[in-house]
Amino acid sequence: MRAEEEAEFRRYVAARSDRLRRFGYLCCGDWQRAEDAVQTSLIKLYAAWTRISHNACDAYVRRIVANTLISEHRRGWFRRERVSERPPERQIPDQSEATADTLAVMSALARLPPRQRAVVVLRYWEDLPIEQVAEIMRCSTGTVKSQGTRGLRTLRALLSAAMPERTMGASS
Amino acid sequence: MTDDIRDLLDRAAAKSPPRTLDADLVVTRGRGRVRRRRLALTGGTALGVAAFTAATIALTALVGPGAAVTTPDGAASASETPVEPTPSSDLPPLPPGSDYYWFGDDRVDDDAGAELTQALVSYLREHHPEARSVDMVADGTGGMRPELRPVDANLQISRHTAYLVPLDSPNNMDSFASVHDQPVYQIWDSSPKQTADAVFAMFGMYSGARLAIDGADAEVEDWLDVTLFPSGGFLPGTDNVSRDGITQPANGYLTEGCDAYEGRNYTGGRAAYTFDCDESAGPGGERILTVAAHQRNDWGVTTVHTVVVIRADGTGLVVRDWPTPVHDTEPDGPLDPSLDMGELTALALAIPIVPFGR
Repeated sequence: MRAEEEAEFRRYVAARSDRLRRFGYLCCGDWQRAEDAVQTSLIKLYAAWTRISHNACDAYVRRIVANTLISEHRRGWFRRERVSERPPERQIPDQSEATADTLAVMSALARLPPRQRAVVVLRYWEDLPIEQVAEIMRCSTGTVKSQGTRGLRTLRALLSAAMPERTMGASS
Repeated sequence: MTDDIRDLLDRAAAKSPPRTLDADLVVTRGRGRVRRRRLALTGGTALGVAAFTAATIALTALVGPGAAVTTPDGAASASETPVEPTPSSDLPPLPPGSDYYWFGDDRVDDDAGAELTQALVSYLREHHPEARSVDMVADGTGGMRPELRPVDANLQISRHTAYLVPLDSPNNMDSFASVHDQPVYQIWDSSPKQTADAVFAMFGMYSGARLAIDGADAEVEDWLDVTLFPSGGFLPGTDNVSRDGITQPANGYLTEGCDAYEGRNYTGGRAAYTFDCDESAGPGGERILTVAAHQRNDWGVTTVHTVVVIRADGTGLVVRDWPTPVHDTEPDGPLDPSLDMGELTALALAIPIVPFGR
C-alpha cells in the first residue's frame, strides 16, 4: 500500500472507529468485545483497502463486525481471544456503573437473537435503508423487514415493561 | 415512530469507555495479513502439501492398532486442532417452576438428519399430498407475496447444539448463560432467502419450516416444528407458554402445569392464555402429551397445537403446528393450525428413531 493510501486508511480509522465501536456494543452489549470485533474488522479492511470502493467501506466493516460478533456468539464466549497485544491503559468500567436506562436497554437488546439484534441496530439506530441493511446482513430485503419489525416489537414490549415512561408503547 | 427507540439506543451507547483501539496496531497487523495472503498465493500451496505429508508420516509412525496417540515430546495430544466436547444428554436437576429457554445453534447436516427429513417428507406426501412449502417472493410493487413450492423445497432436519438458558438470565439468548447443552435434531427452513433466519430458526419465537399444509393460498401459513431430543435430554412438562408473555408460545416444556393465566403478548398488549392438555399412551409404549395453547388477543384467538412424544428409548420428540400470518401483521380473526391434534400425533409417531450424531 502506498503511503498516501495508508494515510487515508488511518484517517478513516480515526473518523469511524468510535461509531463502529458503538455499533458493535449495541450488537453484543460488551465494550471490549465490540472493540475487539472492530479491530479485527479494520485489520481485514486494511488488507482490502486498495481493492474496494471507499464509499463501500462502512458497509464492509459493519458486515465484518456483525459477522464477527455473531460468529463469536455461536462459538461461545469461553473461546474468545483477545486481539490486542497490550492491556488497556485504563480500567474499562463494568456495567455496574452504567445507568439504569442503559442496563434496561442493553438487557432488552440481549433478548433478541443476534442477527435480529444486528438488523434492529442497523435499521433503527444507524438509520440505514432496508436495502443497505440487506446488503450488510447478506439477506433479502423481506428478511430485513420481517426481522426488523419483529425485533422492534419485542424490544418495544420489553422496554415498555421496564421503562414505560420512555417508550411510545405502540409497535411500528 | 421509532425515534424513541433510536434515542434510547443512542443514550445506551453514548457513555463509551476510553478507546483502546490502536491504529498503529491495526496497520501492523493489516500489513501482516497482506504478506500472509501474498505468501499463500505464491508458495502456500506447496508448503501446505509438504506440511500435510510430514504430519501424515509422523502419525503413521506413531499410531498403530490400539496405540495411544502420542506426540514426539510425550504430550498427551497429537493435534492442536480444538476438539469439540461431546454434549451431555442428561438434563441437570432444575428448580421446579422455573422457566428456561431452549436456544440452538451450530447446524450440522448428517445422515441421521437426512433420514429424519426423508421420513417427514414422505409422510407429508402420503398423508397430506396438498401440503406445500411457502416462499416469499417480490410482488412487483415493492412488497412480498407467498408462493407455494413442493413440500420438500425448503424443509430440512439437521443436528444442532441446543442450550438450556434460564429465562431470567440477563443475557438469556447467549450460550454463555447455558446450564446445559446437548445435540438435538430440528427442522429448519432451508430456503436460500431464509438463510439469514436459520440462525434463529431453531428455538424461541421463530422455529419451524414454513408450510401451507392444506395447500391453500397461504396468507396464513403453518410453521411446523419438529425437534428430537436425545435420551435423558428432555423434561416432559406440559406448559408451553412462558409467563413473561414476550416469548410465547414456543418456550419451555420445562414448567409443569396447564393452568389458565393472563399476561402480555409479544406486542406488549394484554392476552389471556388457556390450555387443553391431555396425556395418553402410544402404540409402542410412548408417552404422548398434547397441548392446545389458546392465546386470546384483541384481534381474536391464536391456537397452537403441540404434541410431545417421550419414546421408549428415552428420546423426546416435539412437533408443533403454529399458524402464522405471512405478512407479519395482526390477523383479522382467529388463527387455527391446519393439523388437528390427531393428525399432529400421527405425524409425530411417523418420525423414526435415529442414532444421534450418525
